[in-house]
Amino acid sequence: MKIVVTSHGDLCSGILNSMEMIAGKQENVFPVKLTESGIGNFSENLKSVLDELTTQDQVLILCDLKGGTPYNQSYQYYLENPNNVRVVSGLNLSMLIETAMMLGSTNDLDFLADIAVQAGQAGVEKISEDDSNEEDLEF
Amino acid sequence: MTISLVRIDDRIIHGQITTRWTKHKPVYGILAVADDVAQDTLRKKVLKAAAGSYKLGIYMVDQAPEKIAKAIESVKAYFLITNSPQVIARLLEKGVDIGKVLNVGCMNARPGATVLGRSVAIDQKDYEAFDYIESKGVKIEFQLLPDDEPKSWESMKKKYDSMK
Repeated sequence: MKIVVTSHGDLCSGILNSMEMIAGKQENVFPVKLTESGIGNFSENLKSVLDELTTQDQVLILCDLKGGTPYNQSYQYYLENPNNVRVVSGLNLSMLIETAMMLGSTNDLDFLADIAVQAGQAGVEKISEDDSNEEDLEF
Repeated sequence: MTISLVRIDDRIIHGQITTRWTKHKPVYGILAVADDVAQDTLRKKVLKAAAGSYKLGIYMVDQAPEKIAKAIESVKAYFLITNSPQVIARLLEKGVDIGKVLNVGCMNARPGATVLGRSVAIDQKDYEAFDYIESKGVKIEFQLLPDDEPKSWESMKKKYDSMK
C-alpha cells in the first residue's frame, strides 16, 4: 500500500520532510500539492499520481482540511474508485508517521484508514503537568 | 533476556525511539539510566511525557544493576537507554549483563567532542568507554534508525584516530 498526502500549498511536502527527519527516508509516501496555478492542474496531477499508484497498489489519501479542494478532489476520486483508495482528513504528523510505519505490515486499507484517524486524534492534546509520583517500574 | 534494546542516546526518549524503535523491537517499558537526569525533576517530567503509553523508570547508575536484573527476569520486554557510553562502561564494571549488542543513536556535537558522522560526536572519555565495552565482548552498532546500516566501533575508532 501507498500513502498520498495532499494539501493547500507546501504542507504535504513539508510534513514529509518533517517525518523523514524522525523516521528516515520514505519510499511509499507521495505529496501532491494544490498551488496558485489552480485547481485544473491540481486535479490532473492528483488523478495521474493516483491512477499510476492504483494500478499496483491500494492508496490511503491523507488530506489537510475537510472540505478544502485537496479533500474534495480526493473524495471524488474515492467515489469513482471505491476499491482502491480511502480518504482521511485532518492530516498531522502523528497520523502520517503511524500509518507510514504500518505500510509493510498490513494489506487492509480500511484498517489503515482507522489507524490514521486514531493516531491523528491521539496526537492532539492539551498538555497538563503530570503530578503522579509513580516513578518506578513494576517488573 | 527480556531487554530487547540497549541504546545510547543523549536525548534518551524522542521521536525516533517512540515511532521507530518501538515498532522494530518488542517493548513494554523503558529503563533510563543517567545520574544527571535522575536528579533533574524537570527533565524527568518531560521524559515521562515523551514516553507516553510506555512505562518509564529513570535511575541513578548505582540503582541500575538491581533494576536491570529484574527486567531481564521479567516476561515483559524493556529498552535500556543511557545518555553516554561511560554509563554502559560503569554498568559493565559492576558486572551487569547488558547482552551482546549495544546500539548507539544520537550523540550530538558538544564542546570537546569530535564529530564522526550524522549525529555521532565522541570525546576521549567516550572513546575509552567504547574500547572497554567492546573488550567485554559487547558488539557496538552505531545505528540511528532501524533501517540504517549499522557501523562498527572499529570503523568509528579509525575515523576518530585519523582526525586526532
